[in-house]
Amino acid sequence: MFLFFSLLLFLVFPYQVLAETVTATPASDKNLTEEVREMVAKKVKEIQQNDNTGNPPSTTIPKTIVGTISKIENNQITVTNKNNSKIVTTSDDTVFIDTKKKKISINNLKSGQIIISMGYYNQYGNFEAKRIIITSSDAIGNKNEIVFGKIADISQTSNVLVLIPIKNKNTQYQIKTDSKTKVIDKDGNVLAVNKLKSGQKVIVVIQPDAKTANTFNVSQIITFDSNLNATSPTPTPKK
Amino acid sequence: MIKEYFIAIILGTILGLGITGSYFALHQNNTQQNTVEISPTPVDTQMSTQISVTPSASEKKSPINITSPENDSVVSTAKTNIKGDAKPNSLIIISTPSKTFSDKANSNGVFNVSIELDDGVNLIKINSIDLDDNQDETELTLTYSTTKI
Repeated sequence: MFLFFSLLLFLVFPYQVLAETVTATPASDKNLTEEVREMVAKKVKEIQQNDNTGNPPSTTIPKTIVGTISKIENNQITVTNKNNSKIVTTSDDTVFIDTKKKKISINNLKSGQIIISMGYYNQYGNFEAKRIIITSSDAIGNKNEIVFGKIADISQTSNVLVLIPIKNKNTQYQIKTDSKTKVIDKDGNVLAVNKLKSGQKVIVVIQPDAKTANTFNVSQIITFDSNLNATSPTPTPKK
Repeated sequence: MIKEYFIAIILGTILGLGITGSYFALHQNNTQQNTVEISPTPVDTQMSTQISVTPSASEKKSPINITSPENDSVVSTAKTNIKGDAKPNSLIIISTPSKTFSDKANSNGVFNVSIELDDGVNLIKINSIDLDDNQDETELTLTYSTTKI
């Protein structure tokens, strides 16, 4: 009798194990889903690194690689910009131009020079330069800074206003206006500079003043509040 | 004696069947687990949901997306249109090295701003300010050159 029950238990036990593990499968399925999610996210990131748009570089649109020469080896130039290095391949057809707009050869290029290389990406994603121009850092930069803030103070005696950025209230900008400063509202209507008020939210396009430290020249002010009177409408702002 | 042999054979058969049954049951269990794990259908469904719904914080892209022209493109005309999308009804401010242009994104966040490039490389700063006072910035490099490349 004892033997019979032992055998019965022996036969039934595996099915109990089976039932338990089957109910446990959703957990392992969840782990697998997490794993697949991570793999897909990694792949998407890899694809996005090919280009800012997330697409591989076009082979039909002329492109530019701009930056400082960090290495020249045979017909390949390594160009670095903002800690990002790219390789520019040159050929016998590549035209080299110096700062005086004279034609030169690849042998005239040196590490540290700033170049604009124009050409096309080939089917393998390599950049083939057609034209390389030596230039200066000023020619490839943009000194404009766009700041969104609130006018804290407007000087009554000088053409200076103080702006506190919305993003960082611990900072303030001393901004100089002049006769070239353009003031518009967010619909593009032109306003007079003297219509600006303390407490008003504005977007300013500023450049550092070369003569005075911590002071900026403003080329354009866009009022964010629409409570000022416009003097004339302009559909598209132009300089 | 024959009776005892008969009982021993029956018990042996039952024991053998028990061992065999146990083996097959365990084997079937493992197979079922594997089948559940490699089944592609439910995983695919959840995978597509994951991509579109919850990117990780480090992979969140800028609220400003430029659709045209492509970054680092060379263009042969000074006047060009910057197309893209940002947050709905945002104010878009585009600054080339020498000029500033502004316009509004529509209720879907789509914008199309006509700008004028300087000669050579233009590092363009594109800012958006949404209705909640959030400012975002992205950059686009365009080169204006009339030289045939």
